[in-house]
This record gives sequence, C-alpha cells and structure tokens, in this order.
Amino acid sequence: MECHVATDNIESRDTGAILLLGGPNVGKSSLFHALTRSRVTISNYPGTTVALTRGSLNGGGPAIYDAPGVYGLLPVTEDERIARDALLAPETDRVVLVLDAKNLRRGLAFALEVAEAGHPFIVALNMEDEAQALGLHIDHRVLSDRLGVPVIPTVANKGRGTEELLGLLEEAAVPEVRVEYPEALRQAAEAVEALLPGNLPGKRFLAFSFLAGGDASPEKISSGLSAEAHDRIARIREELTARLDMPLRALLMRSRLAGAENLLTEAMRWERKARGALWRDRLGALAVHPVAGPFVLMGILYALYKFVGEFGAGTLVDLLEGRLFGEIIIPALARWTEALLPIPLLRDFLFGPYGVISMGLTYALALILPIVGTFFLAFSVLEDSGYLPRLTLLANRFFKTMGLNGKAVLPMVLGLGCDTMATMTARIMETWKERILVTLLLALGVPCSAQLGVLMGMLGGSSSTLVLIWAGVIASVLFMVGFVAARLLPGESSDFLVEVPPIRAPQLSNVLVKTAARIEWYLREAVPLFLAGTVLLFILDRIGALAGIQVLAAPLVEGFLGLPREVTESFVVGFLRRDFGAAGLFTLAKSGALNPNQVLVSLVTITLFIPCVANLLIIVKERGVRVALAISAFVFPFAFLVGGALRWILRLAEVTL
Amino acid sequence: MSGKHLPMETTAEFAHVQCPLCGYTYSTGEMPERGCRLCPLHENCDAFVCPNCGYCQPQTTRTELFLRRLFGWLGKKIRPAGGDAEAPGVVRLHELRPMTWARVERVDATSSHASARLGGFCILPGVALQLRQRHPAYVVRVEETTVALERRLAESIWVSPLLPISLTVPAAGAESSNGSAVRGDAPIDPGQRQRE
Repeated sequence: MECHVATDNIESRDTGAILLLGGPNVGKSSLFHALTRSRVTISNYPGTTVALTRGSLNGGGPAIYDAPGVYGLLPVTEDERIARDALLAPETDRVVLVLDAKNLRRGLAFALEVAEAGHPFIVALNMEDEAQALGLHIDHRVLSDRLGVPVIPTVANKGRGTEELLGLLEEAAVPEVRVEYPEALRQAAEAVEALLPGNLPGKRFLAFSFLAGGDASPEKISSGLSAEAHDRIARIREELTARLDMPLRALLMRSRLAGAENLLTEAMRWERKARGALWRDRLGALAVHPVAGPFVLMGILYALYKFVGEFGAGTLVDLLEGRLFGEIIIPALARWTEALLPIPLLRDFLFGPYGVISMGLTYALALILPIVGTFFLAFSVLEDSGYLPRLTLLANRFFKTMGLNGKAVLPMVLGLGCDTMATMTARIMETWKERILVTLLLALGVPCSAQLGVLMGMLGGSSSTLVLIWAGVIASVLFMVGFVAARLLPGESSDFLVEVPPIRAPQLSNVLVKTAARIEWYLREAVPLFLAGTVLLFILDRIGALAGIQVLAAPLVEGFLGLPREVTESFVVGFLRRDFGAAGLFTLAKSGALNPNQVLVSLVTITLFIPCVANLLIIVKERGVRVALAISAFVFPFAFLVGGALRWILRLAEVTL
Repeated sequence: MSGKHLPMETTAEFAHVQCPLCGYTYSTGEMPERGCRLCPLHENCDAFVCPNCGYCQPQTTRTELFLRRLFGWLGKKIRPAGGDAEAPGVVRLHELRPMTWARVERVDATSSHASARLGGFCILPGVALQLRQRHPAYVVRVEETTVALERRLAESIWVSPLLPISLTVPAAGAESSNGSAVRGDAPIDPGQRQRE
C-alpha cells in the first residue's frame, strides 16, 4: 500500500514536487487519493487536511503534496500559512489548482492570485457533476483558452478526469492574464516590487503580502530585506491605507472577482436545477432550522447510540469477546501452549490474569475493535453527508460562552473519533487562545471512540439515570472549565464564520475505505500500547509492585473515591490509553465487582483522566512542552477531584443508583 | 424620515431639531420665540416651532428618549428593516428579512481578519446575496456557497435589499427569486444568468 505522511513543510529532497492547492472542501483530498491511489481521510467539511499530506504520483512517481484548503494566499490561520509556504517553496514545481465548479467565480479569483505568485499550474474543475445538477454548465475549453492554462473537468471521488489531468500536467503554465487593480493599489504594489530583490518570482503577489502587513508577509523574504526597505514598505502601506476606502484584502478580492467575471463570460451558462439538488437544499435547511434542527440532532445521536452503543458494544462485543475469544480462541490457545510450553512463567505471561493474549489482545481486538469499528463507520457516514458543519451552526451560541465559536464543534466531534487526530485539527481555530481551549477540552473530557465505546458498553448495562448523570457531569465539567479558562487565558476569540457545504449522499466506497483506514490506524496505534500496558501490569504484578501501588493509592482510590482496590490497575494502564483503563473497568463491572454508584464514579474519573500517550505527544508537538505539562498537571488531579466530589455528593444525598 | 430615532441632537447651548413635517433641520437658536406666538401660554412653552413651516412639536424629554430606546430595541427584534445608514434603503444584514436578496454596499470590518474572511467568501461590495435564516446563526447564500456567520459579523455588513420580482422566475427556481436582473446597476451575481 502506498503510504502518505503528514508534514508541515515540503521536504527538500522533493525537487519537482506537485502541489494540490485550492479552497476548503473542493475535493483536493479526493483528487490526491485518486492520483496517489492511497487512502487519505476525505470528509465533507472544511479543515480535514490541516497539514501537508505527502504521497507520490501513482505510487512511484514524483512527490505530490495535498495542501490544507485556503481561500487566499494571505494567511490568517496556521493551516493557511502552511499552504502558502508550500506554494512558495523552491521545491514546488507545478501546481494543480483544484476549483469547485459550483463556485467558479471565487475559484478563478483564487487562480488569478496564484498566477501572481508566478507558479505554473493547471486547473482541475472538480465536482463538475454537482455543478451540472445545480443547472450550471461550464465550457472548459473556452475557459482554458481565456486563462491560457489547461482546464480539466473532474469528478475526483469517482475518479473521472484524473487520467486526463495527469496527461496535461506537463502543460502547466503561468497564465498571462492579469488583474486590473485600482490606480492607487497598482502604484503601491509597483513601489513595493521595486524594493524586492531582483530575481524573485511572483513579485506582484509578494508586494501584496507586504502591503497586507502583519503575519501575511512570508518570513523568509521578509527577513532578507534591509531595515530601510521595511521602513519604506511601512510608509507605502500607510499612504495606501489612507487612500483606500475599503480594507486592502477586500479590494484585492473585489478586483480579482471582476477579473474572474471577465474570464467567465461565454464560458458559463445556467439551466434549471435538477430535482435532487432542490431536495438536498431542503434537507440541509432542515438540519439548521432553529426548531427542527435540535430534533434532527437528537435523532442522529439516538441512531448513533443504537448502532454503536447497542449493536457495537452489545451484540458484537458479546459475539467476539464472549463467544469467539472467551469460548473458542483463548481456551484452545491455552491448551496448546500448556502442551508446548513447559515454563509456567511464560504461560502466565501469555494467558495469566495479566497475559499478553488473554488480556492485552482480547481487550484490543474483541472488546474495543468492534466498538471502534462501528463508531468509525457511523462517523464516516456522518462526515460525508455534510452534517457536521451544520452542527457548528447549532452549537455556536453554546461555544461562544466558552470563549470559542461554533467551529470548535469540528475538533470536538472529531475527538469523539480520536483525540489525537482532533488535537491537530485545533489548527482550524483562528486564534492562539481558541487553539489552547480546544486542546484543553479535548484532553480533559472528550472521550475518544474507543473509550466512548467502552463507556457505552458499561452504560448500556446501567440505569438511564446513571447515563444521564454521567453525561450531565461530563458536559457541565467541560462547560465550566471552558467558561473559566476562557476568562483566565489571555488573547482574543474570533467571530464565527463557516462555509456550509451541500448535503451529499455518502459514497459507499469512500465510507468503507475511510472506515478501513481508520481501523487500520487504530490497530497500529493502539494494539502495541495495549500490549505494552499488559506487559507493564504483568511485570508490576510479578515483582509485587502492583500490590504496592494499590496500597499506596488506597487512600485515593479506596478512601476518597470509594472504589475497590482492583480499580487501581485500570488507572495505571489508563496512563497509556484512557480506553485501556476503561476496558479494565468494563471487565470489573461485568463481573459485578462494582455497584452502580461505583460504576458512575469510576466512569466519570476515567472519562476525565489524563489523555493517552499519543495525544500527549501531539499536544507537545502542536502547542509545546509547557502547554502539555500544564494541561496534564491540571487534568490529572482534577479528574480525581471531580470523581471524589461526585462520590461524596451521592453519599451525602444518600442516592443509590 | 431616514430612520434616525432622535429628531434632536443637543449641543452645548442649542438643540438641533429636525422638523417631522417638512424635514428642515434647525437650531433652537433660529426659533424667533419659544412656542407659538398667538398662544397665551407661549412664555413657558417647551415646544419647538419650525422656522420653515411653523409646525410645532414638544421638546424631547428623558421619558421620550427612554421610550424611543425601548421601542428602537424592540423594533430591531421585530422589524426586519431599520435603516441606520446614511444612504436611504441601506440596512445592516441582520436587519434583513429572511429569504430576501440584497446587494452588499460596504463591509465595516471589525478586524482585518474578519474582512479577509468575508472577502474570501465573496461577501464584498457589489455582490448580491440572500439571507436564508437568522437563527440560530445567520445563514447567507452567495452564488452557490452557503455561509454561516454570527450576529456581530452580520451587523458589520451593510446591504440594500433588492425587490423580489416573482414574475421573472420559473417555479422550480422560486427560492432564488432575485429582482436584480432588471436593475440597471445590476450587482455581480452569476445567478442572474440563470434567469436571463
């Protein structure tokens, strides 16, 4: 299988690299998938790709990079900066500009901006089928003539047009078309261009970057300029701002849109919308309706619970863990090893109470895999449908009180799949403060699918009151921490502004491939940690340290939380993965070692428990060691504090569930 | 009236009053005398008399100011079009009635980021857009792009509503009724080609 790697920069060995560039949610990842024949996670919402994804053409050709979706080349967020830098990298040879055929005017305005950056490109006119369904017909030949570069209609998720695209890659060119800017702007740009070193390509674009100021100007070029040049640029910028009657970025966009409008004359015509498009419009509107919207959400959550909580965590787990592993595989393997392996220590290592196979592998494959699998499947369907951006709309008000905006729903919901991946998605938030808040909330209380599945399995056997209290406690803890942190953390929050893609019927192949890719990823990521955790427990048990830890933790676990001492081991492995800890609790609960009150307290504690090792490493990578340490230092005691407080409240109120 | 709620602005000595009848704006210093000359009570009268047409109106009181603020606030909640802008007919996006089309007149960027973001979605002066809904967030349709935004941003977008002319639109495309096709200064909207 062709592998792909996430990175923040174009690698220096990749001279002659091809870059896929385009707006968010125009299907770059689909095209990347079609061109490299690899599995990339493709979703129907903006922000799935937050780093560069590297692959190679047809699995062996030149390097090809998939950039995060951007609306323009003057960056505001981190992912936009990554895309811009990838375009300017000297290794980038040709660009495949992916445009949404439905929003061509905006796409062409972007193309005109890329043209100013001086990189040769060809245009993939993607989602052509959707445009046709909307009644929009585009003559790509006329467009190609006017623009002066090849324009190829594609339907990337069905693989249409990709062969042709590859064939025309060599004909990539820098369009001759230039945008006509207002006089003041043109003069200022020319003045800045004169200050830039002679041999730089794409001076017009660079001039605008410097005129936009702030973070927009590329660091590399900016640091190469003399202090005097910087001063002069600042002066030109000031003069220009005084002369313009609207912000620079708006004026640039407006001029380019006018240019795009010119290009489009005769290349585009409208007919009547297809029936399906109208129907999808209505469904999309229903999902964000002020009254009907919440009901749609509840319906979706209920279906999710039925599928993952009851079918996955109930039926499938019983079948796999109870029947297949419990009655067939483990006993058979145990019999064989008994005959073949005369050393009792080794036998115990494999099949003892802390055996690598009887515990580690059974947890990973029989207990969590079916739950994770069903969740990933349901989640993939939801992702492809275009529902998630609509959820951001419904949740905006709620997240506003936590110093975030509705956009934060995307990493949060993704966190229900995997907190590690979701922590990276925090990049789509615009300000530092928002990114920290999202990272914190994910680390604190958003259970990943593995953990959620185990929790659902445990909750499935409990009363609905218990489920409600658990959900209520977690939600209010998240809310309160968010509320307080939003007020304590310095910095700004941004305004809510998000694109809502059309509702689409999920493609079965994409859903299956995506689910498979995620399950594979889970197996690779989680199984080694499960095995490592089991080995750790085994060793601790053998040298008697486990009993020691249990005694040491007794005041906390038994005294404060009121849980049996065996729970300690769940917390120990919980350091590796929260779901491993939760799986331990699940087994304890199933054996009847925990009463309902204890189930609730242990569940709340493990839900809020420290994030898994992988997540912690990503936090270090994305936000730095200090933030990671600070978050851990807060989360760890806080989880026990909330668990303990809950126990005492239940006890004082004399509530028995 | 342009929609300015207060017909009076007070400077240090004189009040500037706009006559509700003829529209003439005058300073109280311009008034020949307080009240109406023929009235026996004019000595202590608080009323303003327009020097242009002679129309008489009572002086603005604190109670009136409060009531106006209250109704102004309520009115914003109920009435779709307010019109605080200098040009007549120009309103902020959040005052628009859902499903109406409007042309963007200008964008008061709260920050350069916000304006860049809006610009990225083609929400720029001269562009036609349709407000689809107001709750739980504002949803706007620009070309084939649907964008959701919060009130603070909606308030920063000034638009002039376009009259819906349903005759020109075939039944199937009725939801995109836009009268812009018949206007001389038609905004940039490829949607209009659909109807031509």
